[in-house]
Amino acid sequence: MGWLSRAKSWVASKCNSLKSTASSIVDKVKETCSKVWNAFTGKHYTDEAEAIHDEINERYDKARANYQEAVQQISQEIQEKVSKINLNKKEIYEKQFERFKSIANRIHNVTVKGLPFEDFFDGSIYELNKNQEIRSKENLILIDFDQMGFLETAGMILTLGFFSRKKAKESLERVKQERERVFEEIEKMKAQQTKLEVVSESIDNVVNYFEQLIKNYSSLLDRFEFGIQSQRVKQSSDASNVFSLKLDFKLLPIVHLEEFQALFNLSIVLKQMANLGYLSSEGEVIVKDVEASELLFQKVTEAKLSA
Amino acid sequence: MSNSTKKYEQISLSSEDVASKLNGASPLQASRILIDMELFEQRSSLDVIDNVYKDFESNQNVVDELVTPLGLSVLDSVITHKDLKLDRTGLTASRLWEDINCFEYKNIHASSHALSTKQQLKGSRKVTPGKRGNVQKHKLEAHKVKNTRRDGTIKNDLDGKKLYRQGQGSSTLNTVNTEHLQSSESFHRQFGGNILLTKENGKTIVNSDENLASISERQNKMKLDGTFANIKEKKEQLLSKKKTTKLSKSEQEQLDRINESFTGSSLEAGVAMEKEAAKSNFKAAQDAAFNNIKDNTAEIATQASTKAGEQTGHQALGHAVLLMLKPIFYEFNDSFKNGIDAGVGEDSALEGLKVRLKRVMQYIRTEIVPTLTKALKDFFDNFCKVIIDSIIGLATGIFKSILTILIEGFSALVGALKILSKSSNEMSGAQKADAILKLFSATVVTFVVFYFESSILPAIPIPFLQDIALALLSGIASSLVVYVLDKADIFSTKSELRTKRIKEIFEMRVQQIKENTDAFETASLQKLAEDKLRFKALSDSLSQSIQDKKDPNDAVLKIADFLKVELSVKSTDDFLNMLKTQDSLEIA
Repeated sequence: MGWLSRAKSWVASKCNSLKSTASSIVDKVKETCSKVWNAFTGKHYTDEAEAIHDEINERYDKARANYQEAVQQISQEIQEKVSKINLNKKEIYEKQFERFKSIANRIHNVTVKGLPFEDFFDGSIYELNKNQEIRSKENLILIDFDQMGFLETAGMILTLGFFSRKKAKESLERVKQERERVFEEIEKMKAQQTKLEVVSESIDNVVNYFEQLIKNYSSLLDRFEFGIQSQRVKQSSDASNVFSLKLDFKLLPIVHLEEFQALFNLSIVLKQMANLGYLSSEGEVIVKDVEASELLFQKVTEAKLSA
Repeated sequence: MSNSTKKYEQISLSSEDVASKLNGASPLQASRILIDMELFEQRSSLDVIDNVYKDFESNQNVVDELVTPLGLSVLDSVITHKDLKLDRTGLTASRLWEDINCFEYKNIHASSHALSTKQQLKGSRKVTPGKRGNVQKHKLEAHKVKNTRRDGTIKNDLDGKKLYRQGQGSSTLNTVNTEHLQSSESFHRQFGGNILLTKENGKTIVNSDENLASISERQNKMKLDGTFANIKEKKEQLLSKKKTTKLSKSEQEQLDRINESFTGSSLEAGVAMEKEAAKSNFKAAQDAAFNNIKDNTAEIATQASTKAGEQTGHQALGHAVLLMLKPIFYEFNDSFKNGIDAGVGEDSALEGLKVRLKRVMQYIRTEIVPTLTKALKDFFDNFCKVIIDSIIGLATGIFKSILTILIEGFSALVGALKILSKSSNEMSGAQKADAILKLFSATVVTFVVFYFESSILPAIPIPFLQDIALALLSGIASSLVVYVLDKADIFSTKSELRTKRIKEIFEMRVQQIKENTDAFETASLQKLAEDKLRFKALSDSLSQSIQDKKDPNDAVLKIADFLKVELSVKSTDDFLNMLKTQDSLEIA
C-alpha cells in the first residue's frame, strides 16, 4: 500500500504543479490580453473616465467644504453685526428719541413718526444649489463593463467592439466636460465667498455709523439738557408765572437754539437710519408715511414669527 | 463657430461699474448694493453644456460643410458639360447654387441677388448683327410731337437752339432729328442675346423717352450708330495734333465740321446725356429681366429653351434639368437640416423620402414641363420619373447596404474621419468634402454605377443625360453616406470636438468670473475704506464741536450730506421760523 500511496501522492503533486503552472499561464495570458481586450472594448476609456470623475469629485468636495465653512463663519459674523444694528435701531426709538422728546418738550412739542425696521440676514441664499453639484458616475458613464451580461458581451464581440468603444469614449468625454463645468462651479463659490466677505466689511461701516452717531447724539443731548435745565431755573425765577409749562424759545440764548436745531436734524438722520433695511430691499426710507411703515413693521414681525 | 461664442459669455463687471453704483447711492445702502451685484450669471452651468449639445445636434454645419460643395460640384458638372455648353449662357455653379438656396415651393422667385451683377445681364450668346428692328418710328414721332413748342419749333437738347420740323428748316443744321442716345444697334449688341429679356422689353427700353433726344440732322448724321464720345475723342485727337503739326486739309475740314455742328459745350452735354441714357437703359433692362423671372417664369423659360434649342438642341433640356435640380436640392438641404422624416412630419425615413420626392415630381410637372416644347415634354417627364425612382432605389439601397459599405470601405472611412476631424484652419469645409468625395468615389460610386447601369441607363437614350444623372446620383449617394457617417460618429470625433468646445467656453467663463470678482473686491473695498475715513473725520469734528461748546450744526449738515439724508432745515433762521409757525416739530 505504501508504494501505491506514494505513487498517488507523487502523481498528485505533479498534477498540482501542472495545475499551478497552467493557471499561472492563464493568468499571464489574461494579464497580457486584458490590455488588448480593454483597448478592443474601450474599457480603458471608462477606466480613465472613472479616474477623472474621482479626481474632480475630490476637488469639488474639498472646495465645497471650504466654502461652506467660510460661509457659515461669515454669515455668523454678519448675523452678529445685524443684531447689533437692530439693537441700535431699537435704542434710537426707545431711548434716544424718548429722551430728546422729554427734554425738547420743555420748549416745544416734538413727535416722532414711524417705527424701527428690523433687519434679518438670510444666509440660506448662500447655500449651494443641488442642481449644480457634480453629476453622478451613473449619469455620465454610459457603459458599465463590470456589470455586463453574457448577451451584451457577445454583442460587443460581434460588433467588433464598435458600439462599446463609442459609448466608452463618449463617457470619457462627458466626464471631461463635467470637469470643466465643475471648475466653473468652484470659481463661483470663490466669487460668492469674496462677495460675502466684502458685504460683511460694508456692514462694519454701518455699525460704525450707528455707534458714532448715537454717541454724539447722546452727548449733544447731555449738553442740551444741561443748558435747558439752567435756563429753566433762570426763566422761572424771572417769570411772573412760575407754572408756565414751556420755556419761551425767544428768550433762549442762541447757543441752545443751535443745539436744539442740531438735535432736530440729527434725529431725522437717525430716524431714517433706523427705518432702513440694510440687507434686503424691503424697508426703504419711508418719508411721511406712518401707515406704510407700520404695515411694514407688522410684515417683518410676522415674517420673524413664521421664520 | 467663434461668433456663436457670444451667447455663452459670462456677464462682465468692471471696477468702474462697481464704483459708479456705490458712488451713486448713500453709504448706508452699500451692503444692499453689494449683495445685489452679480458676479456671474444666473444661468446654470448645466444649461451651458446642454446648449452646446444642442448646437452640435443642429445640422447646419453638415449642410454648410458638405452639402454645399457637393451641390456645387454636381451643378458644375452639369453646366460645363461639353454637349450642353450652358457655361456660355453666363451661368455659373455658384450663382445657381444661390438660386437653389432661395428656393421655396410656394414662393417661386429669383433672388434679386442673382441678378444684381452686370455679368448676369451679359449672359448672352452670339447675336445676329445689324438688327434695327427695334426702332419704333411711331415712338420717335410721338417724342417729337411732345417736345414741339407753341411756335412749332423744337429745342435742341444739346445746345438749346431752335430746331424746325422736316422741310421747315433752312439747312441740316436746324432741322430736327429724334435720336437714340444709346443706339438700337448698341443696345441689341448688349442685350439681344439675353435669355431673360423678351424682344418687347428691348423695344420698350430703346424707344423710351429716357433714351431719346432731339438734335439737329447734321449732328445725327455725324453720329450715326456711333456715340458722342467718339466724336469728342476725334475732336480732341485733331486738336492735340494741331498743336504740334499742321493738320492736313481733310483733317482741318473734319475739325471745322465738328465745330460747326457742335457749338459751345454741346458735345460735352451729348456725352453726358449718352452716359445717363446707357445707365438708365441698363437699369431698365435689369428690372425688366427681374420682373420677367418673378412674374412669368414659364414664358422666360420657354424663351430660354427655344433660344437654346435654336443653337444646340440640348440646352433646353439642360435648362430644364437645372430647374429640376432646384426642388431636389431643396429637399436635400431640408432633409439634412430637419431630418428626412421629421421635416415633412413622417415617421420613417423611407416614408419621408417618398413624400419629398412626390412633392418634387409635382413641382416638376406643374412648373417645368409646361415650359418645354411638345416634343421635349414627354421625354423630360419620363427622365424625371426615372431619376426620382432611382433616388428612392439609391436611398433604400444605401440604407440596406450600409453595413456592406462600412466593411468594404473601411479604409475609406478611417480616411474620411481623419479628414473630418482636422481643424478648420488646416482644411476648409469645402476641402474636407472634396477629399471625402474623392475617397468615397471608390466605394459609393461603384455601388451607384452598378445600380445605374442596371436600372437607369436603359431608360435614358441621350448620352449627356446619362452623364448628368450619374453626377447627380453619385453626389447624392456620397452625401448620404457622409451624412450617415456623421450621425454614426464611430470614432467619437464629435464628442471630442464637443469637449474641446466646452473646455473653451468654460475657460472663458471662469476667467470672466475671476475678473469680475477681482474688480468687485478692489473697487468696493476701496470705496468702503474711503467712506470709513470720511465718516471718521466728520464724526470727530462733530464730537469736537460738542465738547468745545461750539455750534454743531455745520458738522451735522455735513454728516447728513454724506449719508445722503435730505434735511429741510439748513439754518438757525429756518429753525426759528419753524418753531414759530408749527405747534409741534415732527421728526419724519
